[in-house]
Amino acid sequence: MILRPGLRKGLLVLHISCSVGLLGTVAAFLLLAIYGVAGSDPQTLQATYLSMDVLARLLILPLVLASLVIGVVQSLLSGWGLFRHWWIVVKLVASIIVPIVLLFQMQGIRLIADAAASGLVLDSFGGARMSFIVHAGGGFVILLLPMILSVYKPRGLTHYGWRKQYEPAEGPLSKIR
Amino acid sequence: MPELPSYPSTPRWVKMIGKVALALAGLAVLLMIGGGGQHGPWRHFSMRASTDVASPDAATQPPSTGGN
Repeated sequence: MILRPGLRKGLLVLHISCSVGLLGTVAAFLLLAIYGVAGSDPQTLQATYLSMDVLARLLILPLVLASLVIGVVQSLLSGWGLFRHWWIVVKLVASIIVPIVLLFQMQGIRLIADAAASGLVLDSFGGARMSFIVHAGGGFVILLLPMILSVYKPRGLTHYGWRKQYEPAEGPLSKIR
Repeated sequence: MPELPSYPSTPRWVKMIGKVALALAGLAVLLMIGGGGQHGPWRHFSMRASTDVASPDAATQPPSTGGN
């Protein structure tokens, strides 16, 4: 089933909005994570980690999942397919890695936010706070990859795509034969 | 049925991304081994499990000032 052009463009707008919004939100999270390590004022640190928790739970996670689901639907319901072109396969893998890593980080983010909210001294969480910078920075770079691939769409069919391209077209006549 | 033309090799950019991904995965595995089989923020908290922050509930307790 191939979507009508109007609907396809609507999905594309949604997909781009989620992906670009996600990139911006991860950049904001990264900035807060850096500020959380560099800053020293307890009240500012408290606000920083609470904001990071809210960003991660209410914006980054939903946007990651929405971007992934819409991307999959879009490629399946357009002529591109999900496994025919290398650039789509690489995008898919990158888009699956990001939510997995994020889910591993969520509890840690929550714990630091709780610790900050209850006025605990955060100095002893230095490793975890630094890990937020590393993971958010890595996530930002990984999220740039799908963006670049979507714009350049580098050539290259997968084995499956190659086979599909040269297979005789399946039509009503071929089914009768 | 006509024979398919032979598949050209996998594009160079895919191989390059694959090598970088493998290197990063290897690095993550090394870090996991170095961190005692754990990776992620929890390995930073496990050090403190016996002190004041063993669980999110414990995190709600005020820090001990040593003066009590």
